Parts: sequence; structure tokens; C-alpha cells
Amino acid sequence: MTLREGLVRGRSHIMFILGLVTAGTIIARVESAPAPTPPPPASAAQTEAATWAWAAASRSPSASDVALARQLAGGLGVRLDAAASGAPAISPAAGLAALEGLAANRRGRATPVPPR
Amino acid sequence: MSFYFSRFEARRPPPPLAHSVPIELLWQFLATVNLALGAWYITWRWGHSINFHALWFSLPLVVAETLAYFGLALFTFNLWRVKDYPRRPAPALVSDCGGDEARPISVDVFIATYNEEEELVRLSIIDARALTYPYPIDLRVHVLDDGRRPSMRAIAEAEGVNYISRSNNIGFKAGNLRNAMEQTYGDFIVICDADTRCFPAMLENTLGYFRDPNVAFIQTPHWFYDIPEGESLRDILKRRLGGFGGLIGAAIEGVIGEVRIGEDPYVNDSKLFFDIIQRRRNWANAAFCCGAASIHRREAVMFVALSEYADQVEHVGEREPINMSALPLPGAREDPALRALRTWQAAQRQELTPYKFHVSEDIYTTIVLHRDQSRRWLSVLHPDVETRQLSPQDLLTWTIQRFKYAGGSLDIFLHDNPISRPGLSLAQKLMYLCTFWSYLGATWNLVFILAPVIFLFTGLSPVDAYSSVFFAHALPFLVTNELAFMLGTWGISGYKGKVSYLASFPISLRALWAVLRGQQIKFPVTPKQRQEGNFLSLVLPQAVIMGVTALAFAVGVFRHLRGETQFTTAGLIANGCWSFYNILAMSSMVRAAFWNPPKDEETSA
Repeated sequence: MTLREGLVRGRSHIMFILGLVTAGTIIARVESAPAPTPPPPASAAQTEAATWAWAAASRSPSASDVALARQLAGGLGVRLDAAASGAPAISPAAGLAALEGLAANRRGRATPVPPR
Repeated sequence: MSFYFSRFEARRPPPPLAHSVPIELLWQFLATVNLALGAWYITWRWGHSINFHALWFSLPLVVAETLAYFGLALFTFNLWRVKDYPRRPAPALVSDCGGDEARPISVDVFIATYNEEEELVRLSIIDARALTYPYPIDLRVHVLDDGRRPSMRAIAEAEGVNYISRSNNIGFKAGNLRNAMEQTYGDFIVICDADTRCFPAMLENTLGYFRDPNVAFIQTPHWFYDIPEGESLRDILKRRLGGFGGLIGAAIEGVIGEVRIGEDPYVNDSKLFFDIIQRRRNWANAAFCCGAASIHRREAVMFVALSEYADQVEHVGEREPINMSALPLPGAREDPALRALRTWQAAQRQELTPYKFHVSEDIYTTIVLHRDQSRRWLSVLHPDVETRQLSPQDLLTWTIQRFKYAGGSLDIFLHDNPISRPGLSLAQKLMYLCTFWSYLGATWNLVFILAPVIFLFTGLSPVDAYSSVFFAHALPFLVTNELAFMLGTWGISGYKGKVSYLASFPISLRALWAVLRGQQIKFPVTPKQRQEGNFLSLVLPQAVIMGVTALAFAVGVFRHLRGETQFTTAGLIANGCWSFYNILAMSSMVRAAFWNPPKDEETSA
């Protein structure tokens, strides 16, 4: 049997092996990628700030803004029912912006606040 | 006489799919990648993703995924490669086909009928009589009328063909065929249904395979020449909205390709089944008979029938009690007279059945042929269309047909499982398992249909989290699956087949339930004429699922907007896409219930 004949006869097997190698490579790359680490729990100071920000943001007339604020505040450990009673003197938009800043900061993506 | 299909007389079948080595190699490569990634995904699902807080939901889904993955592996094995059986020139004499005699070949064409319109059968008779052959041949056409109709006899006589009937309907079609075999003697038998119309060169193109004395039968593809072609989107919009509509339609089709509305509403086109699935069973000698449009070597069918008969007499005779009153020497034990009596009594109870008396007599008979170890009979799927047939023209007829297929196959699987019995090769067992597994698939398809609905209503996640890790495991598997099967079924659209399979789950479930309860799957003859009526009741499960899924999606979006944390964006997107696909699949069946042929096609005599 010539090499060419052998390749023709064994082409399905070659494809099978190539497929296994390719899949193995994909799996190895995914498995070796660093696992996403969960964000650290919010500190007491962050939660307290978020509580005030949520109290402001929850007064927004926009339902979607409230929904977003609820999600962010929940992630920062705010007890949503209890916090809604206090109302700081900032606008709902400012409250939402503060929540977004706090959430980003917790995930470590925000620009670090310079020390005072 | 004119029928609705008279206008399609000029239609000619498409050629078989061309075999492309590069595409086949790419398919094999991607299929292997897909299976390996699938194994990885399933392993991860069991090891790292089960939501233990909702085990009642999480566990059935991961079990369903695993069973579906096993089915995927079987289907990949089925489609692995094309290896057509080599064609050979038409034989001139019986001795060319393994026989001893140097005489012309004799062929019996059986046209089995029960209650179909006589004039429809006349068309099949005319075409059978028009069969040509390059050598002298003894061709006889027989009408096998289980309806015992004088009018059918009159037509057979007028057309100069033999008329065969019987006083009962024992064994239905298989019994009808057996009765005809007892009264005929052709070397080969062509099996036709009432609406099977042979093309003239059928015998010339297929008898050559029988030069191999081990070839038992040839199956040719079913081609439904009356499948509605639908209307292009451009034409519909032009008809309804004028020239401007035509321009819009042309623009849409220019981007996404031709869109045909109303084309093949019941997904009857059998190209996927014959040109892909059956043809690729040739390499494992596992192509099975589908009844009509097949040619059988009489010797093979009788050989296996006699072997089975002898086997059953022997086994039944060993385990069943003896009627002692018939014994000449009361009290005698293992003497020759006793053994002879036992065998004789067992023989009285058994029937010689060349074609198994079963609702799926075709696949069942093939299994019996394949597992005969003494001769190792071969079956061949001939890829060219050699006959034309009528498709089910309404949802009721379609449902009856699919129920018979599912019930018959499941009945064999659960009561005379060829996988666990000796005789078949490993490759043949895997091929048959693939067929049976596909009918069991309705059970896990139901889980796949309900899973997104449960998430969207309750927020309960069947996986630990819809996280980036989940998508990193699932997406490579899903993407390679789509790519692999696009190449594996290159040349035809697999989409319709997939959605039809998913949407027909109630039929398979009903068939499974009937078989599990020991109910006999009935043999109703599939109607050949369009049935009138409202078929909405047949698609009630699909319609309910569409409605519930849409409602669940609305609820899920609402609760997500309210900020309920368990309705995550990722979960909503994943389950939303899943729901959308399920609704699309179900809608294909619901639309079929409302389908009516265009008014100008309903012509009848």
C-alpha cells in the first residue's frame, strides 16, 4: 500500500485524531484561564454610603433607574426595605451615580480615590 | 380522471447528494471536536454546576442533557461517512445473481392496497407495467387487495395484471404480502404501496446489486412529488401590496436568501432520512427496509422466515406444556413420540411470517435478516430515487403515520430488543440503537421545553449560576454542534428536521406510553386522500407550550426589571433565547394544523 492509499484509507481516523487534539487544546485553554474571582464583600463604610445613596436613588421617577439602583444597592449589602425611609438631600440621579461608583469601586475597576 | 397531484406529473426527482470528500473530512473533524467538547461540558455539568438548592429541577435537566448527548454520539456515528454499495450492471440471468439456473430473471411487483381510491391504484399499475429491462425478463404485476373490492378486481383485470385477495386481514400488510408470496414465484419482489409509482428504469438500476448473492434487499428513497412548493415572499408581498411589496420582498430575499411561505408544511421531504441517515448506514450494513419502493430477494426473505419459524418452534416446544390427551402412550416421558408431539403442537401454534406481523413490519423484518448469523445478509440503500409517492396531505394523516413509526419502533425496542440479542454486529447495534433512541428522545425534549419556562416563572436556576464559567463550557459545545451538523447534512436544510423532531414530542410520548402500557399499536392504513376537518386538537400541547413559554418570558422580563436579583441578565438572555427557539419549533406544528392547499390545487374528479 502506498502512502497515498494509506492516507485515503485512514483519513477518517486522521480527522478523528485531529478533532480530539483540537478539542483538547480548547479545553486546556479554558481550564487554564484564571477563574473569575468574586468581588470582595462590601465594607461597612461602603454599605453605609450605599444606604444613603439608595435612599436618594429610590425616589427616581424612572422605574428602570430604580431597578438598577436596587440591584446595585443589593450587591453592596444594603437592606433595601430599611434604607428607603431615610432621604438625604441629593437628587435621585446623584444617588444612582454614587451607587454606580461604589459598585465599581468594590469590583476594583474604579479609579482609586486619592488619600485625603 | 384528474387528481390534485395531476399537475405535478412533470416533476422529476432531484439527484442524490453528491459525495464531497473535503466536506466529509471537515464534518468528521468538527464532529469529533463537538463530541469531545460535549463530553467535557457534561462532565463539568455533573461535577460543578448542579444547583443543590433546586435539585428537583437541576437533576432532571442534567440527566436529560446526558441522555441527549448520548443520542448525539449515536447520531454522529450514524452520519460518520458515506460508503455507497458498488453498483453493478443489470444481470441477464438468474445464474448472474447466485442462482443455479440459466434462465431469465422473474420479478413480482406487489401493489398492496386496502381502501385507497381504485383510480389511484390504476396509476401505480400502469407505471409498474411500464417497467423496462435490458434483457428478457418475466415481469408480473399483482394487485394485493385486502379490501376485497370487486371494483379493484375489475381494474386489475382491465389493466391485465393479477388480482390477489384473501378472506381475512390477518397480519395486515405483512399478512397481505405473505398471502401473495404463497401464490407467486418470482425471484425478486418489488413492494409498492397503493400510491407507489415506479419509474421505468427501476429494475435496470437496482437488480445489479443482487449479483452479490448475499444482498437480501434494496431500499430506494421515497420521493413525495406532491409536496407543496410554497410561494416566495417576493410574490406574496407583490400580490398583496403591489409593486412596492414586491420590491420589499426582493430586498429581504436579497439579504437572507429565498424565503418560501407554505413550503412542505408537514416536513415530509424525506431527503434527510434517505439521503443522509439511511445512506450512511450502508457502511455498517444497517440500512433498513421502509416498505414501499424496495426490492427483495425472495430466497432471503423465505430463508430467514423459515429459520425464525424453526427457531420458535424449537424454543416454544421446549417450554410449553404438552396436551397429553393427544399422546398415544399416556405417561410417557422423553421418548421420540413425546418430542414429536411437542414439536408438532408448537408448529401448529407458530406462523410462518416472511414479513413480521407487526406495525413496523419493514424495519422488524430487516432486523431479523441482519441478525441471521448463518448467511450474513446484506441490505443496500440505493441513493437514486426510483419511484414517486404521495405525501400525507393533512395533519391527521401525518400524525397517524408518525405515531405508527414511533410506536412500532419503540415496541421492537422494548419487547424484542435487537441490541441485547445476539446476531447483529456492534456497528449494526449502534445504528439500530440510534433509531430507537431518537424516539425515546421525546422524554428529554419535554424537559428541554419546560426548563426555560420554570426559570422564567420562578427565577430558579437549573445550573449553579449563569456565569462566565457556564458559558465558557456550553458555548464551544453548542457552536461546534451547529457547525458540525451543518457540514454533516451539507446540501439540505437541517433546520426543519430539527424543529419538527422537537415539536413532534407529544406523538412519541403517546406512542411510548401506549407501548409501556402494553397497548397494541394499531395498523390503520395511512390515508392517501386529504382529510377534512379541524386539526387544532392535534397540536393542543404545542399551542399550550407556545402560550405558556411566551407568558413565562414576559414574567421573567418584568421581574428582572423590578430588580429581583435571581432574574439575572445572563439567565434572562440564555433562557430567553432558549424559549424563542422552542416557540419557533412549536409554531411550525401549529401552523401546519391550519395549512390548507391553495384553492386551485384542490381539484378532484
